[in-house]
Amino acid sequence: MSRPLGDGNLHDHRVLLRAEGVCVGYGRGDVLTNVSLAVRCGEVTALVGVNGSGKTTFLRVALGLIRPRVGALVHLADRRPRVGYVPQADASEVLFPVTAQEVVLMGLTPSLGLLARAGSTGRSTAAAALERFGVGDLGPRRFRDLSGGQRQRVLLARALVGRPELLVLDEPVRGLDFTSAAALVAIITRLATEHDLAVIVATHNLDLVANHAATVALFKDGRVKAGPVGEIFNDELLSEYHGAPVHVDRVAGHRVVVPGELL
Amino acid sequence: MTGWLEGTPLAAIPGAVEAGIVSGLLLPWLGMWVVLLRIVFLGVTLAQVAAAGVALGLALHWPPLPMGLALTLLVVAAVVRSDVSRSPLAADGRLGALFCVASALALLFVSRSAADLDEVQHVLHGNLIYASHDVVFVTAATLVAAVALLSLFFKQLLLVGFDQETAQALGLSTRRWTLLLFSVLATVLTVSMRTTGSLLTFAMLVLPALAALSLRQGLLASFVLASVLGGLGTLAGLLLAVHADLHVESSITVSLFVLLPICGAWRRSSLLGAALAVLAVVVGWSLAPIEREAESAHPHHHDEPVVEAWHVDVELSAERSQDGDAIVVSWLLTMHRLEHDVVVPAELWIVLTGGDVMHEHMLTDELTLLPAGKTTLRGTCLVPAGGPLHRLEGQLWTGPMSAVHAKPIDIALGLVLGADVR
Repeated sequence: MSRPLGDGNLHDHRVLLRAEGVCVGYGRGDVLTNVSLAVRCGEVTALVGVNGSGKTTFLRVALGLIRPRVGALVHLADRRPRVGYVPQADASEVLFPVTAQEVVLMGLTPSLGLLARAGSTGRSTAAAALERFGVGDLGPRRFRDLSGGQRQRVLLARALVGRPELLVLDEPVRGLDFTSAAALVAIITRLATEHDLAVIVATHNLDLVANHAATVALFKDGRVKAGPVGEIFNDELLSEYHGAPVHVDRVAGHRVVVPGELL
Repeated sequence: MTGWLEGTPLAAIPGAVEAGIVSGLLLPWLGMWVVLLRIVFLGVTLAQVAAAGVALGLALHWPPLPMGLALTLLVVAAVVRSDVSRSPLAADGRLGALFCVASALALLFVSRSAADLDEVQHVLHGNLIYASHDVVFVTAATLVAAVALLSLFFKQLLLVGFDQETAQALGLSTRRWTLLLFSVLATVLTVSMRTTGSLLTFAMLVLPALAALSLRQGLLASFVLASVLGGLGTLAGLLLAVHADLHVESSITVSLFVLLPICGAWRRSSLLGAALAVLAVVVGWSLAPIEREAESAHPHHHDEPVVEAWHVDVELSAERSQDGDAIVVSWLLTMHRLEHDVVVPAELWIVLTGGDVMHEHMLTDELTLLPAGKTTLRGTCLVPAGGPLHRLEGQLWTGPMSAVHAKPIDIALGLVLGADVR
């Protein structure tokens, strides 16, 4: 069983939401067993693990889409935080001939109410959000014609246009080239600190986690080992959780994670 | 409403123009959602379920359209509850099974129905030419309401359709919005059965939307384009049907399909698209009407000297059946044939209309066998009509209206084709 992070937990005012002894399952089997994890404002919390280890299930719990069988998800101030979500790159229906700006405007849907439409204010908010991520010129372009990196930036703009308190990203750098991935990670980290956002990232990219996350949750068979990145990122733990030798080293001040057999 | 048709070739089929244009303009707007959400197979299945419900209503002597609507909405609720998005392969399989059983049940219920087979055919498959004003009005009102409702909640449907996971994460009930969309679709499919029928309804939903999307315009522009293309394709199909004497619903379906290569070519080059459109028009115009036996046998035209080689008189009388659910129509047909070798149509059908009632009945299929001179035939037919009905009007045809060879016989010949219901 993992121990929730933070100083005394209940009194840690930086904690936006906390999973307490959460068990989740589909049908008869449990996907998550007794998971406890705290997510703090201004920090990136990374969920790491092999496929099927329960990362996405935990994301769905954090988003409030799945109710735990046992345990609870406790929110700060006893209310569900405003959420921004960046799904996996292939989650969008590319048949829709929508522009990048129209995609960003979708992020305003919950705040607009039932019948209101995004007027000129909404459109300028969307344009500003695109500008913030360096893709201001892409507003009129069709979303499906954009590159993977450009799409991710547009989806990030959509996630942030509703002024979220919690930003959840599912595999944000999957399929991106090295430079696009690095740029996106830098943006995510900056967002967390500048906007005091609580960020949860599910990823297979250990380098991203090693150098940008404050807290790491290692998922394996529905169980979690969580802690500060410096504490979690060691050869022994990573090798155990990946079921293969993994080595953590430092190059020019940055942590580098490589499979053990390459050394 | 159809006064503008006077003097045009379409003046012969005003009901079909009304119903066709309204459906051709509005169904593609809904069809955009069907295509964008990749629920084309669901649409086909719902149409079959609606047909099965209508057939069940006919078999049980219950109102067929409410029955069709109830069954379709029940299936929609079950489909939404089963959450098709979570296992699309399994969902496809379930829809396939439902499609098969609904198609089979529709046929079984029809075979158990006591209603006239042609009546059943019209209710199940629609009849654009003989859509009454009331039916066109109900269809138009339903379509306008459906388009208005979906436009009102456009932003929610867009987010749910574009990215269901994010919609859920942002707190939208994807199941509720999906239920709204599917229910609207089910209602439109069921109501449209009386006018455009399942084939043409489906063609109007899908083909203009595909053509519009192939032009690669923006989202709103694609919706508008789909409507415009649907209207144009329908008009072209109606003109083709009148010009070449073709089955109306099939002509419109083919015209709508032709939009696909035209729009595909237009995307590459507007000149190529225009050339293909002109070619389509030329091909359509070159289709001459087929000379038919029935046409040459038509007794006479008003602007020609009357040569009474043959003519028929039909007298009608009508009274309510004892149980009150139907009208018993008695007919008396008198055939005047000057010589035996005068060519006459083989069949004579009568189309009876009044209020919501539209009923076809074959008077005889042995006209050619009748001897020269005067011959009389008489008979009765049962017209299902539960509601108030005071008068029935009739029109003579040389075959069932759905048949390619059928022609209406000019009723201005002095035939007595009306009957007050006693």
